[in-house]
Amino acid sequence: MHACDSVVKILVVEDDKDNLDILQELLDGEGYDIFAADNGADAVKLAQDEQPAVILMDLQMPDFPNSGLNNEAGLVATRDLRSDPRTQSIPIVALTGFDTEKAGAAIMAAGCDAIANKPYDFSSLLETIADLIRHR
Amino acid sequence: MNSTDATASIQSSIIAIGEIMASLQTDLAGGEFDRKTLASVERISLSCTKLREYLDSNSEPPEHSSDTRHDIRNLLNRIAGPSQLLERRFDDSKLAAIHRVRRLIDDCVAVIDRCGDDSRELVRALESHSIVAAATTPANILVAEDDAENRRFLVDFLTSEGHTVTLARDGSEALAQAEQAGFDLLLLDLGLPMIDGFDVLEQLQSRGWQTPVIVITGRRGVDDAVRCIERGADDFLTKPIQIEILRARVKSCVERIRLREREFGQFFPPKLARQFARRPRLIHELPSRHAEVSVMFCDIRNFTTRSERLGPEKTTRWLRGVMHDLCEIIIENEGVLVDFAGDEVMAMWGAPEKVPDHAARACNTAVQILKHLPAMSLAWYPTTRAETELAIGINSGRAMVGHVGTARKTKYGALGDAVNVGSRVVGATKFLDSPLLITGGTRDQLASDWSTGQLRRLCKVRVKNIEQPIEIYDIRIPTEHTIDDLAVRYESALASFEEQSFDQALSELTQLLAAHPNDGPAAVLKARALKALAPDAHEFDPVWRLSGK
Repeated sequence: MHACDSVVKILVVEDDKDNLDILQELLDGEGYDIFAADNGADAVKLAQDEQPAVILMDLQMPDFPNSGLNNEAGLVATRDLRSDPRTQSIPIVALTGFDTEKAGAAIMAAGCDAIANKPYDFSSLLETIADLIRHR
Repeated sequence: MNSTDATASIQSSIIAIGEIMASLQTDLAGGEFDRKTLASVERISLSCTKLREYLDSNSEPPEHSSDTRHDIRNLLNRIAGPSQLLERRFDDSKLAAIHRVRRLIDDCVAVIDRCGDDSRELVRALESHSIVAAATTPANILVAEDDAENRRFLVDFLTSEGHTVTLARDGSEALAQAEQAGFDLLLLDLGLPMIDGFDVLEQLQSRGWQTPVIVITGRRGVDDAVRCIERGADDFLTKPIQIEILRARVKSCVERIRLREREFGQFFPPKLARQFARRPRLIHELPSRHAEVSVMFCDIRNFTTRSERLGPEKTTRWLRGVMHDLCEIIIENEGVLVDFAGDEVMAMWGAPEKVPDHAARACNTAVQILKHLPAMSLAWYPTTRAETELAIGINSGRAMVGHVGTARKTKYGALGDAVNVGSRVVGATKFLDSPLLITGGTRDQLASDWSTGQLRRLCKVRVKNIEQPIEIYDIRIPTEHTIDDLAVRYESALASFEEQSFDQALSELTQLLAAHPNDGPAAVLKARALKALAPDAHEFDPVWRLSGK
């Protein structure tokens, strides 16, 4: 029994609708099959059900829209994904606006496989995604 | 930079971008450009407007509010995104304009970065929510460092983080300690006396050491550190050691061992998985020997027909989900997952570690799986639109066990008649109409007071290439109603059948079926009895010859 692997699925977790649209346009153009979640809980469930090849995770999503208080929903979701055997081996690219020098080690220690800084450099983001898929 | 400056600086960059877009729009209006290009340009203009509105209306200056910085970064991304999409569509004449846009965005990002250090917040959040802590459990760390003060610093820091630390003061001590099992990480100073760090590393490599190594070096030793990494070290730290970097790197290395533990944990029980995660070579060193084992085969029934109906995507999801649950139950019961091939999983008890109650464990696991089945079937119903059914066969006996994979693929398994019989027995579930069958060999190994399920002798079978007929039993899952006499009555009918008192057998079976209309094996035996009575019956043999799988 072979799974139909010709379309690669990517889960994008991003609460900002416009940014999500941009990522979708970019990734669609590359032939990936994109589906999205705008909060951590949905992201984990979707990852379990759909088993994407890669997850792009905005680390700075609020737990509640506009709360501005807890911008850590992305981190919590990452931890949940890493501790569930169904999803623990799916590579995660952290999408973040932080200065990578300082926060990079901490982000990787939280379980992410790569980091993309906002505003994104699309060419390197695409390369990173292709690399992660190739080396699964 | 005060708030007016930051906001003003960003505003002026955005105005400049807006002007570029306006002039682009004029250019494009005259020419032949596709919708997407025009859409991107429009999007950039719109995003510029939005960002300017945000800056105008937002009273929180970027210096004082990380939320504002977050919002601005998001808004900048909305400009950066389409501009990069444009880059891919424009020829040289327009590219200069886009490059300018990129530089202006970079300027804005630089301004934001100067306003505040959000990364500190992130690190704090990670720690306060124990998110990084969740990625790290306390580890067993070997520290090889000859400088007393440095040693003390490392010991203090690592123990305060909850880890257990062992010390080595020179290279030969380091090697001796490393031989003791169970380290999750080695912190290795390159300037060790006796045998230096690089040589220690070389020696460890040749012994198959796979635990992460972080080498520590002085500022001038970066080249040495790079040599070590090329030799197999995972990372390096320069002195003076910064706590945050040490912490993050330790955590990331320990996480890697945990990951390997989880990988081996897919096949082996936790204790063995932990050992193999540190020395994967151990698997190859496991002796090949004869062992008394119990093997269990578990198949998904009707898999091929279902998969044709469901198509590849749904089938794979269903298969993975079911396999996941089966494997969890097997590992929980300390079984070794030998293999999964398509819709079948094979597990083993009794090797590599001798386990006296291997038969009971296999049977208990099977019962647990069948008890879990209704919930699993229900969970997958929306995908499969049908019940999920399993067939399980267990046999016990002597097998040859060992590492039967290659250097690339780990496979610890068993070979021999005992295994072949087990695989035939699961096939027999179809003919005998009972989902969980075990052999006499397994039955004999169960303690007389084994009561996890209800045992019943079903019949004797003959399997190809094996001379001795094999007793088959089934196990029924206990419910409140299983204090019944079904097993006794069936076995009595079976005895009549084997003595060729077919009428007697038939009458007993008919009565039994009246009380238990859904009992598959009774119906099967009844059919066999009828067939034996038929005028054209062949010579009777109570032993059922099983055809191929």
